[in-house]
Amino acid sequence: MENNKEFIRNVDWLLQNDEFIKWRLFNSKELEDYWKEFIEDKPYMENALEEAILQFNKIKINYYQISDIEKKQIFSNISNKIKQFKLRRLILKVSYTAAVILIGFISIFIVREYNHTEKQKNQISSNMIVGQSLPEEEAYILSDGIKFKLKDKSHVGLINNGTAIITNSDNSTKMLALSTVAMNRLVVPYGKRANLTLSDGTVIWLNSGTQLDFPSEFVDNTREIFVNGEVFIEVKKDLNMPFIVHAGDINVTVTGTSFNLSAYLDDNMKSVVLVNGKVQVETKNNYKTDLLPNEKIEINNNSIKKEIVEISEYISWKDGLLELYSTPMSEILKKIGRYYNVQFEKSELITLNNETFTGKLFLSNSLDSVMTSISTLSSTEYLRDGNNIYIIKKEMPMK
Amino acid sequence: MTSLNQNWKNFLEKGDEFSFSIIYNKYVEELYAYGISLGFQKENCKDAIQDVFIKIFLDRNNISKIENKSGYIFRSYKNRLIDLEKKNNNKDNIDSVEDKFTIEVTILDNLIETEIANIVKEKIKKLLESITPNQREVVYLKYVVGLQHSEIAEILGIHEESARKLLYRAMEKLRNKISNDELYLIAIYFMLLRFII
Repeated sequence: MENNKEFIRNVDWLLQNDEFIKWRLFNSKELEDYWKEFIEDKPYMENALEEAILQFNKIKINYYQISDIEKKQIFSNISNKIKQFKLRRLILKVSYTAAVILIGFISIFIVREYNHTEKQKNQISSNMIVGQSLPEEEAYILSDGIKFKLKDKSHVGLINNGTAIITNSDNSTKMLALSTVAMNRLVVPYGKRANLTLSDGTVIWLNSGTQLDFPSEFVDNTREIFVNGEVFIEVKKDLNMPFIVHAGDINVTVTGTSFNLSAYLDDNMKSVVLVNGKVQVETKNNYKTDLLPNEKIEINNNSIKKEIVEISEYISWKDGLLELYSTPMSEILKKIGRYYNVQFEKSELITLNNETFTGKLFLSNSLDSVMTSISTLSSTEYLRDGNNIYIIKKEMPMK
Repeated sequence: MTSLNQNWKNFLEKGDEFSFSIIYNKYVEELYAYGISLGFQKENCKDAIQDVFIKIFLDRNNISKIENKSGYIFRSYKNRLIDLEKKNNNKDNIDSVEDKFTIEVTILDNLIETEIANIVKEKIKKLLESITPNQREVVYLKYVVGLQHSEIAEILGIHEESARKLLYRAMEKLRNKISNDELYLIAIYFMLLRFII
């Protein structure tokens, strides 16, 4: 007990001692010797001295800290400015050269130079992908020329006489009278999702950036819908009433099954992946083929490719997951971009875009947390500056 | 240390952006604290850091010729801070910058008893306030940031020998700050301690 008191008193005495303070602050040879001698002289002070040093280490001079967020913000400002400067330099270069050339040659020249500089620009930033988050849009149903706005992740259920029940993610509901004569349109912009139960019980999940035309009730001998975008469909079995999905150049005919269809108008690549049952896919030039479960057909302009795939990679989006099996970065970012309404640089010259990754991404409500997962998965660094997003490749330190 | 050099190399030779970000992270905290210590506003410090690193990136051919990179970074940062201050005030009352180097003592955790902590804080403040702001800056750069004499010389725009002298004089003053009474008190303390034991 007494010893303990003694110890504390000694520590406190040391902390207040001018020589001790100077030694800890400035660490000169002279003072070093002084305290070495001190301990040789008074060995019983050794523990107290150690403790005092430990406590003194907690004392900081001009400890002005900058937060991590501020640090990142400054860095992304730097990256932004650098990009702007580079671009300006290139433009200056182009316009300077163009000015020297005779007017008649200008157009040809600029095209050439542009191609050249485009390559150069990408070369400089080949370790970095830049994305831009775009302004938010709302999902809506268009019926009889009237727009009904929908909240994100709403469910639209069709019951009799063209009545639709809209259920929001917070379980609140609303009734809507849809046209019974003309087709209705459900528009889900990038960054939003929705799902729909048709009057026959068929369920359709609409991924971001998808437009679906559907009747409020199926009256003829067929069930037909029109899709631009990506949908996962569970078709209610009805052998007498085939279900036909029209998606641009391709038609998918089924009786009862579930499959994923990706057919964005602005994407050359269209694909159908069958989960179970049987579907028939017909392309523009009357090429018809049947798909079996786990098969994917990929239609890219005029080339058609069929292969067995890991289905979950193609359908997990409906459950808010993205499963990746050696998926190229460009493909991942395309999907993420649609899901969160962000546009990423697509150039193949960015080496990072060609790298492939395997893993599972949880598509939460926050883009930040998804991007953080991607950067962990791909050993990249992720920075966000307002609407701008930067993915920077981490280079392994050599040797 | 080698990895920082390696990063400088990757950045300067290949324009590697990741290495650049490592270099940035190495300096950003030190620069920020230094700027505040010189009496500049937080926002100005952040802007100046930004400007300095943009310049380093865009001017990397010239930077690679510079031997003393830390010195260069701190000096361009300080110059930039002064420029920004001038721009904001439309005046050149910049002479006062040198006289502003302040000392703030912070104690992390509450390991040390508050009463003692206050005494120690006060002592450190008094000690460092006994030298001129200019000397304080040199002492700070040497002992808090941990820079070399050559780097400090570069920052202050003086010869290395002058920097050494400046620091020496500051230390001399600090050393003499121990009054003889203090030594006397130490002796008494231990005499009394003997008795108590």
